[in-house]
Amino acid sequence: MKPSTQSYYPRQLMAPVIFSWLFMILIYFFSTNSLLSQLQQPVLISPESDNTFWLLHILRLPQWLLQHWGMALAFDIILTSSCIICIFVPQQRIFTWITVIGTWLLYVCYCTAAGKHYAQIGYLLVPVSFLALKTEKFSLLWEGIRYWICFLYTCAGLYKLYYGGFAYQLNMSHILQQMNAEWLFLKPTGIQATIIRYLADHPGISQWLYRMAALVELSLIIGFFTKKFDRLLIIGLFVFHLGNFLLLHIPFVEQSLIFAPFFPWKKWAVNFHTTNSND
Amino acid sequence: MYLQIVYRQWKLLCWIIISAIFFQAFFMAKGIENMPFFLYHMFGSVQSSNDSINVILIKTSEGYFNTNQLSGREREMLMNNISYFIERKKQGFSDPLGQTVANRFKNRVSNTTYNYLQKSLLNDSAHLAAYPGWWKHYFDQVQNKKYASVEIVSTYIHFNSSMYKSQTDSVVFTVSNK
Repeated sequence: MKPSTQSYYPRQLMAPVIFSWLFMILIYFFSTNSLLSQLQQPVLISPESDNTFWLLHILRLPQWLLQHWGMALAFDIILTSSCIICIFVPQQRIFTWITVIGTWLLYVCYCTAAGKHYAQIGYLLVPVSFLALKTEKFSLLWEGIRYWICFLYTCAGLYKLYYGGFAYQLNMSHILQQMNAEWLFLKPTGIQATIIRYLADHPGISQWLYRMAALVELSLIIGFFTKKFDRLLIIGLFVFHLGNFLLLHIPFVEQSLIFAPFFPWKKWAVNFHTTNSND
Repeated sequence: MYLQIVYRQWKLLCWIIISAIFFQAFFMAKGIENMPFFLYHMFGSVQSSNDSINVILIKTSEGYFNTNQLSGREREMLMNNISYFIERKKQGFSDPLGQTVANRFKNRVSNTTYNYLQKSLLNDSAHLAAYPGWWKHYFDQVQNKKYASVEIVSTYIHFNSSMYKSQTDSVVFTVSNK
């Protein structure tokens, strides 16, 4: 008789899925000329006022990787290969460490060269849980990442209340204008352009969209108390990011891994008769 | 409560989480980021009303290059650092981070260490001089056509239903194939 539920997350089932997902993100990086060896050895660095960036720049690691094409290529190959190994050999730690450190370095190198530190870091956070091999510890880390994501979005919602964006009637209209000025100048026709222009010209409607987005972010606070509504939270997060992509051109491929902690992994494990062999 | 469970099952992780919260609160108060914790407003602040916005455009022999045909990542890598370059150019090619480095380290470490830190954290004039050349290489890679010469211009787009561009373009730099 199969169990109706289980106490821990099924690491064995999850690792191949999550690392395949991460691998697809790396393919996306490759297809958009964003892997280190594709950056043509950028010359500017932008560590800004960030301790993590400062530490790595003082060690001269990003500069070294960015300036030596051979090293950048070796880095890309090692990162991609170790990610593939994590898909097929989930019960190991060495390649998981290499993949996690590699993705963090890739992020730092990309951001310092681009001159902006991006907040799309879902692909950096979620794989960290797999550094724990024991299912008890893995489950604690996975829950921790889930709480972190709830905290992140709840904060974003609270910021909109605290800094006044929620109450200001013209806020979304101004955001749409600022984020789309160049885009609309270069692409003045089409359904997407028409919708953006309509929303920018109708602050009442666009501001309600902004408020709905803030409420979706705030709704993540539910995630601290129960997992019953996780399916709704995923739908809310997906619609939120899709809206950001269509209206503000903020891609969420890298961020998409944040959906994973809200999936019903335990239920799936029971359904697929998966057992944790590493208990 | 999550932290109680972590404390019972994995004390080390619990102390790491508590220390991280403590240090993050300290650095947040100081306005210093520690990736992966950011100090963004996440579009929360009130956006001021402007009649126009400054934009950077790529001018080729065929007119303005449509950066919308690039992926978000390619566009970011190409366009964001131009604003950074313009800022440096305005300030006589000095890196504004230099003041922060000085505040934190000058007279606290030896001259040799201080020079090393400056070289590790700041862009010098050689980096900035090499920037337009790098930009052209990356531009050639991300789009299929090779233009003999490309001009980066700074201009203003005025907000109204047609989003019209001001007549004047200020050239940031021109870069040609060698």
